[in-house]
Amino acid sequence: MKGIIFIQFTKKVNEVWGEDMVEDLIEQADLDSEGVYTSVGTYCFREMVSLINVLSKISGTSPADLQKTFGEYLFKQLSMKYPLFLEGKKDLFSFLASLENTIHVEVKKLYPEAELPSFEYVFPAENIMEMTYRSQRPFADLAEGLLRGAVAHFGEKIELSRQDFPVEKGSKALFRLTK
Amino acid sequence: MCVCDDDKDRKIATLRKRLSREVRAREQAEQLLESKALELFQVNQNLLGSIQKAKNRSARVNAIMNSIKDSVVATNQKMEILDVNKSCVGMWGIPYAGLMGRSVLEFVENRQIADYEALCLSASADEQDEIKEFNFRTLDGGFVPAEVKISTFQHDDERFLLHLIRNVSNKKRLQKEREAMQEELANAAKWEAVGQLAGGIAHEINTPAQYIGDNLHFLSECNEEILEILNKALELKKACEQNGQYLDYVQEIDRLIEAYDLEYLCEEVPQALKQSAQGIAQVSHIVRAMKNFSHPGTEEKKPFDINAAIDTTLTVSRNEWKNIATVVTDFDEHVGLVPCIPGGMNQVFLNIIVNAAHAIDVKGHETMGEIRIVTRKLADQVEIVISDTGCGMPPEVVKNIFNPFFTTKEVGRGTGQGLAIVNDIIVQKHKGTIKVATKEGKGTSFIIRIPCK
Repeated sequence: MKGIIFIQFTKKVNEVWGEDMVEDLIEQADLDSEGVYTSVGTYCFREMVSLINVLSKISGTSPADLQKTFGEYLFKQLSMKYPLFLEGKKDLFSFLASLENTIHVEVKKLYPEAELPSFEYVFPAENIMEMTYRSQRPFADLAEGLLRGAVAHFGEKIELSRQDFPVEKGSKALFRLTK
Repeated sequence: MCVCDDDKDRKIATLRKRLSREVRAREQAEQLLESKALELFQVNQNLLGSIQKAKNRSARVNAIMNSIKDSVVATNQKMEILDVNKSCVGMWGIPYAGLMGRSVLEFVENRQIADYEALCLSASADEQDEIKEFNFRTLDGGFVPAEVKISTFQHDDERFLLHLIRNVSNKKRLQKEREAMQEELANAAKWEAVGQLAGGIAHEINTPAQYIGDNLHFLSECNEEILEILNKALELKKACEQNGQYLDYVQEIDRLIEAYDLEYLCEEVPQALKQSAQGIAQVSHIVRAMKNFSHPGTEEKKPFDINAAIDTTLTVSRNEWKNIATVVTDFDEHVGLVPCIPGGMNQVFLNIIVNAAHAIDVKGHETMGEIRIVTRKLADQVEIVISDTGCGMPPEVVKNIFNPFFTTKEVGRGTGQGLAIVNDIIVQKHKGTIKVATKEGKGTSFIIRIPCK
């Protein structure tokens, strides 16, 4: 997982719970990196899992809700940092459709070692988009949060539903977006 | 220690931890930056190498394409030209940039466009390879015959056509020349056979002609003697008549004289014998000429009587000119014997004289034309001028007359070899010169000069 995600995570924790919480999290999570992150570095996704679990224990908020909340925040931060990926996208569907074949391709060019989730798209009707999310990591909730962040960014009235699928490793979910 | 100090210490400790993480993060970032910079440098080096290789490959492909003697044209499915090689630029006479985007069909002769499109469709459908011939327009408004083979290739998800165009104008010219050469060889063989036959016949005719001539000469002499005796006999008959002697015989003789018209016989028989002698002399002359002409001998030079040879040639070719021209000869007696290849020189005179007759024939012969042949002895050369009052030649014809296979005569009459052979015999074999002076509608003169030694 790229360092930028960890940096944004600690930033969000700092904003909501204060800097002491960040220190507590780092101390209790027993991280290989010891909480030293650079945005272009790559770190094990388990550190993020540990951080969320520790934060959940301390804050009393479920890990799923924490992921979703962080996902929404993360989308906003990334959209400000990388506006290029949103340029020319007139609506949510066109942006989401570009994730797999454009944005992930560009990310892979910059970070060949990055392990990205995959998306499959189906349009059962003109106003419905179904995205199947697959990842080797347990971050379907984070993905949902990112999707909600995207919905908020485009300001469209979208109904988002989710169906999880049991998988041996990682996560798989079907997101259905209806206009 | 108060709560305030505890809080302060905790804050300082937190800040120190954060500072320590930030310093280590910066070190990590610097290491990452350094390794990324190295990676980038290596990638850049590889990229430069790849670019150079690509450039070299492209240059090699271009060199290969441009070394192909056939025209290579790449078009899209709409037949719009995307690329051509150097040969194509040469064939169509249009610069590279001027060809880009134009339809290849613009260069195909109108009546063949549908066939060309059909060939392209067949190639697009990957049907059997076909080579077809088309005429391509050139910048000067002419057409170039070419064989065309079309194949397809795929690039960037698009299908393109590759037109291989082979200019076959040279091949066709050579084919035509080969056919003409074969025809010429066949004619030459035929004429050689005819010549041999004529030589044989001439030899066979020569002997009886000889004794017919001798016998006629003998008969002429005898006739004079017989007439002398007859005159004496008639004087005797007259004396008998006057003396009243042998009157029965005298009457019978008078009857016979009247019945056979003795006066007519005495006048006509000598003339008949004389004309017969002249006729057989002419036969002998022609036969001798044919014999000389049909036995040109070797390719080696030997002393050759040019005046006599021209005379012989005129005799042999008389049938070609006798009804359309008169022949005037002005021979210099000092020409003497000149080292020549006899067969070759006979061929030269015959070709030029026959051409002169044809030129007069083309002009039309309301009045008889004239073929004038003059020979002159120069310092170390002999000059032969053969002139005619025929149609003459325009400059564009004159410059080609010595080229093999060039002819202005209708199909089947000329092979375009006659004057080429003349030029070869005079210039190459005799180290002489041949010049032409001509005026359209007035006539032509061939001026030949042969070294005397």
